Amino acid sequence: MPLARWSSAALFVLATLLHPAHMQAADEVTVHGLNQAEFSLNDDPDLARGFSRERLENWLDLDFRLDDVLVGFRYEAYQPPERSADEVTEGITQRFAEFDFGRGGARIGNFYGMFGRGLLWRSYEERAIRIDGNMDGVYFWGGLGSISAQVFSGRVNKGREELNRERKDVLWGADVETELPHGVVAGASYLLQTDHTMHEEAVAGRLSYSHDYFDLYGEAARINRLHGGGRSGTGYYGALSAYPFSFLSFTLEYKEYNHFRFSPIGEDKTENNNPPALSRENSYTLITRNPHQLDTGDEKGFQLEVISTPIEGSTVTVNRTETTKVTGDLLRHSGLKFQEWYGEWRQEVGEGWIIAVAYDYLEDKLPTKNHTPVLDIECLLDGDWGVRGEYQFQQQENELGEITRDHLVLLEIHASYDLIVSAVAEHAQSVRPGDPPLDDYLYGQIDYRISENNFITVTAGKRQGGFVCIGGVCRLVPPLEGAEVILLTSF
Amino acid sequence: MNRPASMIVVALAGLIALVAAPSEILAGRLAIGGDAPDFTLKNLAGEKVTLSEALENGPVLLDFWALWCKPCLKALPSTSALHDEFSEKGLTVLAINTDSPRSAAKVKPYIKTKHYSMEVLLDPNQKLQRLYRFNSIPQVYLIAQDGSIAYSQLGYSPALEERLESEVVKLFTTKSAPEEETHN
Repeated sequence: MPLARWSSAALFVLATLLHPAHMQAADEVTVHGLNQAEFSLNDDPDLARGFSRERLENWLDLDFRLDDVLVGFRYEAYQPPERSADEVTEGITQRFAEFDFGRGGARIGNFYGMFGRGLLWRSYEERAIRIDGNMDGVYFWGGLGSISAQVFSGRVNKGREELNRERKDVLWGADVETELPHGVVAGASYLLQTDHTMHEEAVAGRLSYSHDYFDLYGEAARINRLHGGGRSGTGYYGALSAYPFSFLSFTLEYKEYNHFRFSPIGEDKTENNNPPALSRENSYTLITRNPHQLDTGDEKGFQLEVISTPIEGSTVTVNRTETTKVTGDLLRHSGLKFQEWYGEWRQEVGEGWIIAVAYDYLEDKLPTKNHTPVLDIECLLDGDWGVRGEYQFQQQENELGEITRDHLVLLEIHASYDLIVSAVAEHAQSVRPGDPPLDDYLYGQIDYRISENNFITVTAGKRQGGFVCIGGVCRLVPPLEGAEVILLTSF
Repeated sequence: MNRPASMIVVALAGLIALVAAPSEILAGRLAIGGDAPDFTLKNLAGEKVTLSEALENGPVLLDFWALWCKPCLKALPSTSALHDEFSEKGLTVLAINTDSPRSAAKVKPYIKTKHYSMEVLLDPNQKLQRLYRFNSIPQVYLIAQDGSIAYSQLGYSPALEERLESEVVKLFTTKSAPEEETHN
């Protein structure tokens, strides 16, 4: 009964919005909500691969606060979810009560959290890539003097399918961190998950040091699979940030992950950990089309990023990234998984003009080689208004030596976040003489703030599909040939 | 009724709600005048900073930003300028970085190279974003010394930059006005 479900959800939202009595049950109680609805009607022929033609997804968060107590829940509804043609699901997916004790707190129900920089445990949500790794259990945190600690026990969310599934395995975790003299901070973490088929323990230690001219961070972790889980794994991450001159600083990071995938028992799609991926996240569309997906099972690599302000109003960024298999050689590129060079010069010119030129070279293991220059010009007019234009070109050579070229033009007029009108045109072409264009794309988008807390985004036309990656975790965004509406309401 | 029809029902319901709901209802816990939730985060030196303690010195400006967010980076110079101009009068400016752990090591180099002077706090797991319930950045909250939200704004433009400064000035003007009356 999809209609009944949706009608009840809509009525629920209406009731909450329209009845002040629900908002102020008592003088001290405050209510807050956030609703995100996404609808798309898509006639792209590629959707035969499992994406649904019509899609409606909705997330509603409501919470109520009384002094130091916060209770809330999340209602989710999919008719159907993005990558399913038939499934219709809805229900309460999260509920929690949180107590603030001043020096710490406790949360019962669903929660998110992280130890260190996520090497061993990071429970988080990134809706843009449809990741929701919330836990269900109890979570305590607190601090006394220079020592702080976190302890939790919970069952891991295994994705949207959990609306029809049961969380079974329990993950236990504890973390303690202490501030030592002279800018040194030390921390240690322990995690355990076990059932009748498997027993896994994970331990990590970390150390950081902060100085006026540089910062150091290092963390080492080990996952012991005591029975039923295969080989034990190790993970190492280190970062050096240095500020040798007032106009120049750099960050050098190193990673090494060997059999370091730490998933819930019996699950291969979700991970308990989210270690630093050391892949640059670019904002230009064509550069993001060929991302590196983090493989915690077998990879090592480094990332060096230099940032400089050589002259007034300019920012220069240079990034060098390389990742190989653990057995590979970073300097000789053996066992290469991907490498990237990125350079960008951003310059403020006169009153309100910003011009940026960028160049990206990316090579992956196939090998596919991408060269992508970008020109980005923005003019901030008086008041709220501004115009921006972007031209991106990409030449891609695949493993067979075939070359394709892609041109993308973006034009945008914006009035802060109140109104953004943009149009994007893209033309892809094989370089072999006589070949027809691979495809042309053209779509427009309007972002409009309906009222103080209400936004709508409407996209219409034909848009290329591709990956969106955050922290090495990727989502394949389907191509669009039709319309998409996103409605965001907070109250 | 088939699926598209049910979707239309939902869409209409949403639109009716948006149009019909009075603004004072749509503006909830984090509306102007509401209490700003307290929090503790670490700064770039690893020291803990608590909102309620910062409020003891005067008003607090929260500016949520990230390295990947271009409008946020455009707004940071003016945020830093507000710190330079009003910190002696008691304003604490907290630029809260919401980059995930993957970019944590790049935040301090960026701030150092750009010579920004305000305090930068790290929220790598977006704890505050959930507490303050917003989805987009740059998001700014100006909090009066009594802990209530005096002003908030989303996005960046030169006009918003001026608006924020005038709101800060207004906050100090209204704060000092009763004192002047007392002296008179």
